Amino acid sequence: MPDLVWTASADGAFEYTNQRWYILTGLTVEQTLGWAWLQAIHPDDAGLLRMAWAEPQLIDEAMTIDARLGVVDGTYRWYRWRAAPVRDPHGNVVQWYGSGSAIDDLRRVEATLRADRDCMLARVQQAQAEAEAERQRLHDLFMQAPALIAILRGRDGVCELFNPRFMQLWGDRQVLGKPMREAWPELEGQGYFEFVEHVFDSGQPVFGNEYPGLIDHGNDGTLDEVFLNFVYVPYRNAQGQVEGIMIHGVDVTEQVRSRQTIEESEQRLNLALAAAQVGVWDLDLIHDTSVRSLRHDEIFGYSTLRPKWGAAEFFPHIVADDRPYAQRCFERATETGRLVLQCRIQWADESVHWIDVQGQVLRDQQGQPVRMLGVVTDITERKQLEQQKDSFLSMVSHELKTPLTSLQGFTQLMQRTAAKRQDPTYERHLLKINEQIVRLNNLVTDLLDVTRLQQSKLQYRFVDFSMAQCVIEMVENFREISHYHQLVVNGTVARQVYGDPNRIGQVISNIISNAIKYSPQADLVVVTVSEDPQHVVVSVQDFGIGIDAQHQTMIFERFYRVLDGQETFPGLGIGLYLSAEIVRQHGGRMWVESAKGQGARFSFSIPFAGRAAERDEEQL
Amino acid sequence: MKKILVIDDDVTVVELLQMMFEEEAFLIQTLTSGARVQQQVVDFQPDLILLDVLLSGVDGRVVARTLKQQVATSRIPIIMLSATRTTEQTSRAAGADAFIAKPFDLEQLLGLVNAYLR
Repeated sequence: MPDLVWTASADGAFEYTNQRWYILTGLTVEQTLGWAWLQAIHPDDAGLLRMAWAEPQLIDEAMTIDARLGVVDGTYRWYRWRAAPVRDPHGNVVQWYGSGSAIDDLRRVEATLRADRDCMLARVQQAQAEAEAERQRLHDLFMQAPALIAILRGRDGVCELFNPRFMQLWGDRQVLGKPMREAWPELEGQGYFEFVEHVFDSGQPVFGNEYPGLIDHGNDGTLDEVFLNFVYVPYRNAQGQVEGIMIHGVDVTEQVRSRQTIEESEQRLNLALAAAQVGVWDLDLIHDTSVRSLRHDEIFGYSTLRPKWGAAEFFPHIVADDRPYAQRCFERATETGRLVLQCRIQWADESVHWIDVQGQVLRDQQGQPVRMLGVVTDITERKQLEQQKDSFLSMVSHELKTPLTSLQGFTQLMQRTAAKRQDPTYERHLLKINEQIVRLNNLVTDLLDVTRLQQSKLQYRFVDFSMAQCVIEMVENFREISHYHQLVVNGTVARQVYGDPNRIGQVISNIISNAIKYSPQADLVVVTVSEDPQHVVVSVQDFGIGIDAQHQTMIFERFYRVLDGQETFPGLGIGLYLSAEIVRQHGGRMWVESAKGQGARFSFSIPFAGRAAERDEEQL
Repeated sequence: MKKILVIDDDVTVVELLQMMFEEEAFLIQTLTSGARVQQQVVDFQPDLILLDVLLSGVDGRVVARTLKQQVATSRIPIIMLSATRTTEQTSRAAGADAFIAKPFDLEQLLGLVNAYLR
């Protein structure tokens, strides 16, 4: 039931409206009739209504317009205005009958519906945008992925889609739309095509792990080896039939190559270790467990790897005599960082074997030793050979010294006779012979000593003795045989040292004879004995040819001789090596100060108390 | 006259020692092997024995130990000689009173002998 009823003239001027209008709008009749009623309509809608009447001849049926009506409380309400024309017999509009129904509720529903629709539309648009973005992302991912991605269609693998990385693998050759055999002819016989066909036929994916391939990267006919990890997955149409293959792969050539390089070098190392019969060990110092090669355990007499091996297993294998020494070496290694040890071990069958152990200590960030890595070698055979050599040299030395004994003895007998006969010429000649015999004897002794030294078999007889006295005795010996050089002794030291006077005498004798030998143009050699609170120091100064700085550390090496090409001096090159070693065995050190052409000053120092601790141990 | 028994398998050394000690007015007897030492010592009754370590046939250290273990000969001083200096300790352990390395200085050996015979 409409609220409002009205009539209007053909041009839209209100002629009548019912009472409801006046109540709703609060307008008077004057304010309504004619065109005045338009003022009650919302300004935005009034234009529409006016237009509707502007050309009423166009409207031959009833018209319906929604427009807001201003009501008495100042608000607007939606009304649906309907107007039906009344026509004369000629069809001209002569009057309008109209109604107005409140449609606020309707409008609200419509508005809600519209809002819902807009909202849904917005959502659809958003979803579309998201889908597009997602598609773009996937596309980017696909195109930028470091992986090799391609889609092949059909059993003959027509190349349908691929990413740039995939293309790079093939040197950017044109493959789009080509069947695989045409696109990548070099793969024939390498299995790749067969995989595609298999996946197509079976519908099952195929995986390749470090699968090798020969690829013409440069499209120049040369084939490069690659290794690929890949998966071939079938893709299906809506009916579930396989349409093609998706390929996802990664080029792992670099990884495979570097692993191969490592494996090869490891293999080489293992071959070298096996060839050298070297056993390898890696000891965890905290838990006393280790990782070893089989050879390691074989060296200890086991045919298979022992379940556990650490210091607790190692030391009991060492023969009792060598064990304290081995333990000392081990303790020292944790301080110095290097383990060097030769000792004897006993196998379960009681056979004794020599081993050489070398190791390197690894420390944690606090500097604590945590790990030791090293090698072990069976040196039994070498030791046996050394012993043979040792006994051979010992025999040689004995055989050489036996005639020397007679030579020296008879020479001395003749010297006594010559002295009695007071024949100075004869005496002088015999003195020369004796000198040479002494020299020959010293050479033989040195040779034997140097061999023993290498095997740490040089024997020492430690006693308390006076260094000053020892120096004087040695100098006296030289005064007897050296008539050209004048030997001067400076200083003295009352305090005794603990050492082997014969060995120390050997050292003093060696450096004095060097001083004489290497100063043919000078006539003075100065021997000085002095002390500091801990050491006695002996120095021998000559004024001879001197030693170049570059040779100064090397002259203490075995068999090292300074060869200048111009001046040559006879000798074996073992004297200083032997001397330095003897001094070291006394806990002392030896050094040289010199410059070429300026003479040389050889010195050694021995601690007064150097080996006293050991002496006290021995006495216990 | 003091008596010295010289035992060395090197005849030249034996000759040398004989000449030297005779010059010094000692009575010398010599042996060039360790084979008949016991008998010789009993027969000769030496005041001192000069004994080479590495004798052919029998080791000088065995000879020394045997002599030192028998009451009749245990008091005779034995000076052992060797061209191998490393035998000094074992020689002393076998009972040698002194050791002298070959080649030796005659005066030194003489001094040592005199010290034991004084």
